[in-house]
Order: sequence, then C-alpha cells, then structure tokens
Amino acid sequence: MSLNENDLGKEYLHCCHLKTIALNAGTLDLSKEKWFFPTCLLPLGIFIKEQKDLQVIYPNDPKISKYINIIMKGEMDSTKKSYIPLIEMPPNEKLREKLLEPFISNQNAHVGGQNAFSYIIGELTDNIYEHSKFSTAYVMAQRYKQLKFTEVGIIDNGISIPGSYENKGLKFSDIEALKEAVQEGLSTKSDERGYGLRTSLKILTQGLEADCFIVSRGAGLIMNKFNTLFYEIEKNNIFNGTLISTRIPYKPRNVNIYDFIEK
Amino acid sequence: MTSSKNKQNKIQIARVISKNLLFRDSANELFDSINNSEAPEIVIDFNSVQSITRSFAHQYLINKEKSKKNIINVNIPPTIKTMFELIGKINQDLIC
Repeated sequence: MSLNENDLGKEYLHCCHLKTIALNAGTLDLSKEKWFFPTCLLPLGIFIKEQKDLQVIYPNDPKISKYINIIMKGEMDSTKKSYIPLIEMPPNEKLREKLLEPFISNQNAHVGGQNAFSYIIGELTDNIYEHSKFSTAYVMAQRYKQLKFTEVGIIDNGISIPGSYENKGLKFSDIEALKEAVQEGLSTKSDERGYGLRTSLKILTQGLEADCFIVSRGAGLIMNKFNTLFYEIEKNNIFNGTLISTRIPYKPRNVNIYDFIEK
Repeated sequence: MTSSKNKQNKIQIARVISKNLLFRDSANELFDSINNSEAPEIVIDFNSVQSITRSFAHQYLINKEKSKKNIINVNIPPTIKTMFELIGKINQDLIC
C-alpha cells in the first residue's frame, strides 16, 4: 500500500501538494478547498506560520476560513456554540493542562472515555514538550458525525524523532529512528521513559480500532490493528517536525487504558 | 499554596494543575513549589482528578521520593491509584 492509498496519508500528501504550489507561486490559494481534515490543516498551519511573506487566499467557505484564522491570527473562539477544537500549545507556559481541559471534556465520550482520550493527548503532547524543542505546536480533534469518525492531530515543528535521537548521539536512519520510537520505545532520556508513544498507539489501534499516521522528518508510518507499515518520505514531502494523526471510528465506548499499559 | 513553618499545607492538585494530570514538567513545577515552601508536611489532595498519564505519575513519584518534605497523598481516585501502583511496582524505589 502506498501513502496515497491510505486516507490519512492522502490528506498529508494533499497538504504537501498545496505547499509545493504555494512555494512556486508565492501564494497559498485555499479558495477552492471544501474542507480540511486535521492531517492536512495542521502541517499547513505550521507552513503558514513559517512562511511569513506568503500571501494566503482564504477558503471561500467562511466555516473553513475560521480554522485558517485561528492559525494565522491566534483567534480562539471558546464559546460552546462555535467551539473549534484546535489549540496552539504555548512553548513556555504553565497551566498547559488547563488549556487542554475543555478540549478533553468536549471530545472524550467519542474516543474511548476520559481516561483514554486524556492519556493519549497527554502522553503525545508531553513528548512534544520533553523532546521536540518546538516553536509551534497544535492539537486538534474534530468529530465528523456523518463520516462516523473523529480525527485527532498533534503536530510540532521541532527537531523530529530522528533529530531527537541524533541529539543524544544515537545514529539511525529516519525510518530506523521511527521504528525505535514506535516498536522498541527507546527513550533518549531513561529506561522508564519511551512508553508514551508506543502505549498511545496500542490504545488507539487495538483499543479504539483506529488508523494512525505519523510523519517525522523523512520517515512515515501507517498503523492499524492489522498492519504496521513504515515509509521513506519523498524529499518534497519531508516534514521538519512530527505529525501524529489518527482516525477513530465513531463508537461511544470506554476503553480501559490499563489493558494496554505495559507493566 | 501558602507557606508556614508550623502548619501542614494542603494542595488541591486538580485546582493547582488540572483535573487531568498530563505533563512531566507540571509534576516538576509542583514540587519546585513544595520544596520551596517552609511547611515540613504537605498534604496533596487528589479529589476531582479525572485522569493521569504514566509520564506525570512517574515524575510525581520521582519528585516525591527526592523531596525532604513529608508528602501525604489523600483522596486518590481508584483509576489514579492504579497508575501510581503500576509505576511503583516497576520502580521498586518509588513508593507511593
């Protein structure tokens, strides 16, 4: 299976396509975009932030435009009626958990209950703070009632998983580095660490029957209950940072995280 | 958290950090504050805590072990207790 044959991989490649056109034209034209899934929107958000001189043509649909507004202007609308589940994580700020509280409360019933959802969001976001040295990071979870899934994305523009190992003197290819992080749980800090990503993927794929996608610099991963596939990312599509996204089937249920946490 | 040489201080962890205890750094910041206080005994009240990550629990126990204060955990919900017990069993030196 190629990346383009997977729904999450396809969304990421669509983002790469938009970025390539924008870099050539000097304009990011989103006027014809009908919808954004987190897997496309989040790396696009990082791109918009980093390309400060880029002209952005907003999507024609105002509902879609508001997502771009959040990214470009930092506008957060937290009123319940129009709650947009996209949060920019501050690099150096206390009370990060407080920032995530409404986000976790709004989504948890559909993604395995409070414990499972906050565990996944917590561990994956903690990894960003512990390892990535990011300047921009987002967390987003969007429920698609008609499509019957929730898509969650967590992204940072930091040093990436391969870069994190390199900083500790561990020489791996980008794919080897991603394999270490996902399969071995090798931590750059200590033995008790390194469980976060691996356990979160287990809860997602085995507990919630979700599809998962990771891109970290030149390595990609597609993972579900049945398959774990690693990919070398083409040069044009490399992401300098880490994106983790997942599609969780819309089945309200409670998952016991302790069934998946290694003892 | 108020500081006193003689009194026992109580921290409502859900109010100070969050109902969801997620980040290693938050456990570190909590113990920076505890270790800088003058009170010899600190009660940490876990009432209203809804979830905890392995990372937070591990860092909390490391800090608790290192701290010279007498730290007393109270009102730990069962699901949070399970995480502390799991980490404590793996790392025998970390006693909850």
